Amino acid sequence: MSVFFSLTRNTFRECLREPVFFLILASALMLILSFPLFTFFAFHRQIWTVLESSMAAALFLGFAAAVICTNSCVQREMKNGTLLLLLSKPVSRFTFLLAKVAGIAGGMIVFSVICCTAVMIMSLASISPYLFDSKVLLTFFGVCAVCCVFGAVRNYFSGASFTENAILALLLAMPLFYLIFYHILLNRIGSLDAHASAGLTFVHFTTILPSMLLLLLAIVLMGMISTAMALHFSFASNLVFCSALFLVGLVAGQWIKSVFGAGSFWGGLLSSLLPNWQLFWMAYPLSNETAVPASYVGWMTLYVVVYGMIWVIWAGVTFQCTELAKDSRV
Amino acid sequence: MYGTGKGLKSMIKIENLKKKYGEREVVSDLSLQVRTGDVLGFIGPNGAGKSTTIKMVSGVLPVYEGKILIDGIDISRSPRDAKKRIGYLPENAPLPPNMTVRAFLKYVAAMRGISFFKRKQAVLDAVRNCALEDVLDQEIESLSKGYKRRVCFAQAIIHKPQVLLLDEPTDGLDPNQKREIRNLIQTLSKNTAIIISTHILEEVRSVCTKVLLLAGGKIAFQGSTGDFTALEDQLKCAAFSFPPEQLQAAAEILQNTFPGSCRLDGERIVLPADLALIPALAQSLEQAGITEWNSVDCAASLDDVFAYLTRQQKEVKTQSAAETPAPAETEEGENDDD
Repeated sequence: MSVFFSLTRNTFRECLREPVFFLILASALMLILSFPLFTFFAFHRQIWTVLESSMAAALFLGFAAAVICTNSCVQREMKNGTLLLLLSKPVSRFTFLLAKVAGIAGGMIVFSVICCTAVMIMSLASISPYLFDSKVLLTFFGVCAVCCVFGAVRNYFSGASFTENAILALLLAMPLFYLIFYHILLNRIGSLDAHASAGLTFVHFTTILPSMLLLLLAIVLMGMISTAMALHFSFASNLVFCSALFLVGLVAGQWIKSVFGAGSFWGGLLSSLLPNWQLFWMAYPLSNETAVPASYVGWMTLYVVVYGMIWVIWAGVTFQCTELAKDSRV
Repeated sequence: MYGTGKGLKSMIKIENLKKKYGEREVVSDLSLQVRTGDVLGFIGPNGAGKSTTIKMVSGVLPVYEGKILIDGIDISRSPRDAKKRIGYLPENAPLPPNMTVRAFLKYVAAMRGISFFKRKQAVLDAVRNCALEDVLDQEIESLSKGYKRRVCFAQAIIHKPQVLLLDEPTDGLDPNQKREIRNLIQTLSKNTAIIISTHILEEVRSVCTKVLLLAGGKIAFQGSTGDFTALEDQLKCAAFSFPPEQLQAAAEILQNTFPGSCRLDGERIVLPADLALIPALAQSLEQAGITEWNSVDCAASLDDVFAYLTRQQKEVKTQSAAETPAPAETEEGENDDD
């Protein structure tokens, strides 16, 4: 067990140390930050526009981060020979694969938590249809900057990884910032009279949280699929495959229904084989202020675990027979 | 020199090992034994199958045919138990670039199942043995080639293995570092069975107790280091002297006529004596207009012994391929099962 945890921990840290992972995360945060600025003309729908755009950015960039991480954590190990070093130790191939999946899933969870918290913060910044709360945006910038400075200081004085420390600082700071600001805003709205608070759209924590959890599950699932594929495909092939899977999964539900009709066996089989990303997309229920039940989140967690493990088991079985040494590629 | 360890435990036993990639047989019917206390020098030309064999023994590559026993444990059936006893230093010393030396060795100790409380001491012991104190907190990618190889060596010995597989352990090291590593190997060999794959024949002479020369996937020589180095005295060589202005041309002709069998020794060209008598030699030189030369007997070096043995193995292979009859063609309609 300790071997599994050591491998997982190492993979997780490698994810966080990857510079491109940090760049994608930073891009996602800047994108999410910019959406409130573009909603001036949406008026009373501004908060749902912000939420939908931010969630889409987090989902899309989360998928990109998943493929990037598998390149650095799996394919690079296979290319530079450190995988041979690892497998010469009493570590089975399946343990290696599971640890990689767990480590990358951990990295994706960190990515998702930071992005989803940013989405929730932006929802607080967009409660008014006529102005956005610039204090929130500036504080958000400030928090990001402080986290980066923290990473830089640790890197300068103790040689620790800048990206790893900056990301972990963001992981702590963002939820804290959200909770503080949420309570401040809640108290402020509570103290306003009915007229003053009429135009404000305040999304409660309990309303938005299930949607964010589903987003997290979708990104973790993509991480699992990408890891399974990385054992057999190069980075470019994996990226193409995962992109295709993402696009097909988005439209699969509608397309299958239109081609096979409702209740068809083949339609059902195809639906089971393809990941249906629409199941994780809660922008529409959110915008209708419909609560997403906790049981639905539970079922989707089970779906991710079962579907993801099918991919992992397939990869594990085929990986047992893979020749790993460079001179085997005749 | 160490003895052959007779009576000591056989830690590595390889029986009829074969490895194929498609139709190409890269290791053919290899059998050997290495006991505790033995240091087997595994030599051969590039592409002979040395690294492939070592990878199979380390459990990284699956075995096509044959058996590999590590301390009596079949590596194909119980790979984890076998690998617990093995320390492996791969060629090119692959290492994760973004970790510090200390973090990497702690990670390896965890992979090896060393308990948390003993890890620090295990890391310190490996660091002391490989003289890595000065670079302990440096990132691996910033280290020189020599230091990287020593880090890789440290990860191979951190768990005090009973079997050590070293693929070119001194490649890229300066002479002082080479001496340190060779001394370390000799110290470790008291309680360990060691296989060293190397191109440096002087290393074989100074460190190894046994030699196995692999050529074309087959054994060309197997015996003690003494027997191997004795071939230097047994092998006759001829040293050819040419006029200075014709030396380069002569060297090119001889290299082309006998590839891999001749070497430049100052201003002389040394060939095995049996090749020196071949009429084709004189004809090639005369055709190039080189008519003035003389030859004297000279001592063979280990390089000459190596070249001679690999050439012999190649000739045996060519001969057996020529002697193997082609499969008979059956006409349509014939039924051999009647």
